[in-house]
Amino acid sequence: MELLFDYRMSIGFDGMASRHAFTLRFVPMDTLRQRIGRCVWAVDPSAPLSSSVDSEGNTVLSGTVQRPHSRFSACVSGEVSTVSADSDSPVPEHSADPLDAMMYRHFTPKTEPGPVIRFIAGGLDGRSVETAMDAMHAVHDSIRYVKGSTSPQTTAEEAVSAGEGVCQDYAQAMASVCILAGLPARYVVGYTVGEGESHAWTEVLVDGMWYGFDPTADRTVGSSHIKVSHGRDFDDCRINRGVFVGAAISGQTVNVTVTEARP
Amino acid sequence: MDDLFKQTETVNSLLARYGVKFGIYKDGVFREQLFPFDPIPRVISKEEFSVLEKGLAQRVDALNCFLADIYGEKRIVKDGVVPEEFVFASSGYLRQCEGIVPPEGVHSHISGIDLVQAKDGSWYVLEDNLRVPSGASYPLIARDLTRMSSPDTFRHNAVVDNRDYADLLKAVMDHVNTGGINVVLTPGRYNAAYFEHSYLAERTGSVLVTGQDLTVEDDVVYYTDYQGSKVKVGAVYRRISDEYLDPLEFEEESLIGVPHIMSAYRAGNVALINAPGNGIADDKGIYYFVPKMIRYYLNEEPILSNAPTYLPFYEEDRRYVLENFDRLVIKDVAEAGGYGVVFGSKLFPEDKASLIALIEEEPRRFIAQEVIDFRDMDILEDGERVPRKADLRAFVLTGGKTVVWKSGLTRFSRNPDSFIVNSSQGGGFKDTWVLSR
Repeated sequence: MELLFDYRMSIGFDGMASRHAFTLRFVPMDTLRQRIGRCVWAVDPSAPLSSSVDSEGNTVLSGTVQRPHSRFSACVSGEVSTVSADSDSPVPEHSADPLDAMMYRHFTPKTEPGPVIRFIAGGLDGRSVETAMDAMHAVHDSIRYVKGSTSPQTTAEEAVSAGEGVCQDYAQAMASVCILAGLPARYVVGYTVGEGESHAWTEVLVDGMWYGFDPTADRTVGSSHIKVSHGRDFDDCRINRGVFVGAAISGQTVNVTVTEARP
Repeated sequence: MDDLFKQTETVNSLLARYGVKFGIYKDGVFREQLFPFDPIPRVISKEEFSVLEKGLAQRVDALNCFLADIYGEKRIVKDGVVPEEFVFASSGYLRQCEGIVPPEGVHSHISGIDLVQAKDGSWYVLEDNLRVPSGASYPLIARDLTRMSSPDTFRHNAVVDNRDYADLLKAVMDHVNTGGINVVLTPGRYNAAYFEHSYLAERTGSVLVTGQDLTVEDDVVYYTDYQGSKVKVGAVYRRISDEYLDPLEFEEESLIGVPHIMSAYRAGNVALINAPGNGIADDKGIYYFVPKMIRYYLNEEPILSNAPTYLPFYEEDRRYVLENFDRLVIKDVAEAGGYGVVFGSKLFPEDKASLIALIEEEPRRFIAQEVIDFRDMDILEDGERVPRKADLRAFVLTGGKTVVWKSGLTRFSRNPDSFIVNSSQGGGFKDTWVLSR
């Protein structure tokens, strides 16, 4: 499927911010499932951006706006072609690096399991793609989608204990459940068809291949997903980080649009 | 040496006047206290020091190999010598450092290795400090002052001059410098070791800076001087810990760090001394594996011994620890500075039961060690010689090669019943003399 995507983020300050240093992890990556075509980005106020690759393999743009500004915005847009997945069977996203199995089977403070995660993982059997599917269903059924019910600090265990959350909570919970069941897993940030905020899901390593699962939607990652970055948890994949002096953030808006390209 | 003893008061008052202080936080309040100097030096013979020297260099070389391996190929984990739980689940392992090869390949430039001497004279390594080890300035300045107040003492004893520390440090900075000036990055005047930061900056001819004095442009670090002109920085001897180093990669709330400095470091444009991520190698859990690292990387037998250590992580060790609980010292691997250290025999029954439950629940979090029968050292208290527990922090510097500073910080516990000598726990210090013949 040919997709057009557009991500825009805008931060308003309650005064004049300056010496504003930031990083952006919002440029989609090439995978077995998706190819990036045209891709452009910009920040306002404008600043030179340097591009590098972090330890996870994600593209990071870094820059600093020195002069005082009351608003900061960043956008990225482009075209992505994704493979069509017509059934519900998962599509390989990447072939695994030899070290991946070792690197993605340890918990972080965000994915550290507690009794509820342990209970969910206890119902799983085997180490196959089906096990991951079962984990996805179980996590989907354990959390009710309630916008604003959690924060970036919420851990996987806290979300499943409360039974409420948003996509990042589903994704961290599924990673935690899978690791506990013996399947290396990681957190993914991306965009999906429609209009709204960025999305998050989970990748699971089975037999040398990474597969994407979307526990929020309870379906496998397919032609309507655009993958941006991965890491062990939310913290490794933060789209925007920034520090500045002179003002506080008064508001932030994010708008992502993904549509199917018309031929 | 009696002459030296008579000068104790003078030396301590000079130390106070020069601001040789140690800051501590207690109950949220910052206090500066003097770090009391005791005039009776620790004396190490030439022969004994040459063994220590070889053993320390060997240990630090192996630790540097380990760090390069962990953030690189991970052979030691793949070969099953160090279990991966002790590496990738440790808070000292920094994912952000994965794949980075620091300038000249050095990870631990300044290593503070803590040793104790047992009654039988044998030395044991108690702890490796590879992050931001502090304390070298204390014996350095104490030597300066004692030489002035009692020159005869040094005329009659063949003591190796230890005032070359700054030269050794500068050589390390110059060796890894990527082009530009050397700076010492301090969190500022409310840091426990601020005195040392300014002292070492002055002695190495480096610029003492805070985070706000540095900026990063296009992955290059610059220092802006008082006139507003920018100078490229090639090496940062940073005295702030990893989590505060770069708010864009670590603690976002950090006000003392330098935004984008990790990006400059990753690009190879600046040396960070010591490298970030070293916490994985001086973790109390990893300590157990250091002798194995020496054999693994260097194919040598360790010259210096560890204190006998048990890892409750291993079933067999766990059983031993529970059976011998009362004669062991239990350490929480996540704590530092003498905190989180308990003696099994000194616990109340209910505290003991809850600690045992915790060990069974989280065995990875603890190590247990045999209590070493320290050789006490005399200190002067109200003119009397009284024995106290003491340790030695040796400073090992790695640039082109690894060298051991011929001195060190001898810390002692002022409390006769305490084994804990950390300055943050109210101890004092002595000079450490290495004899030249």
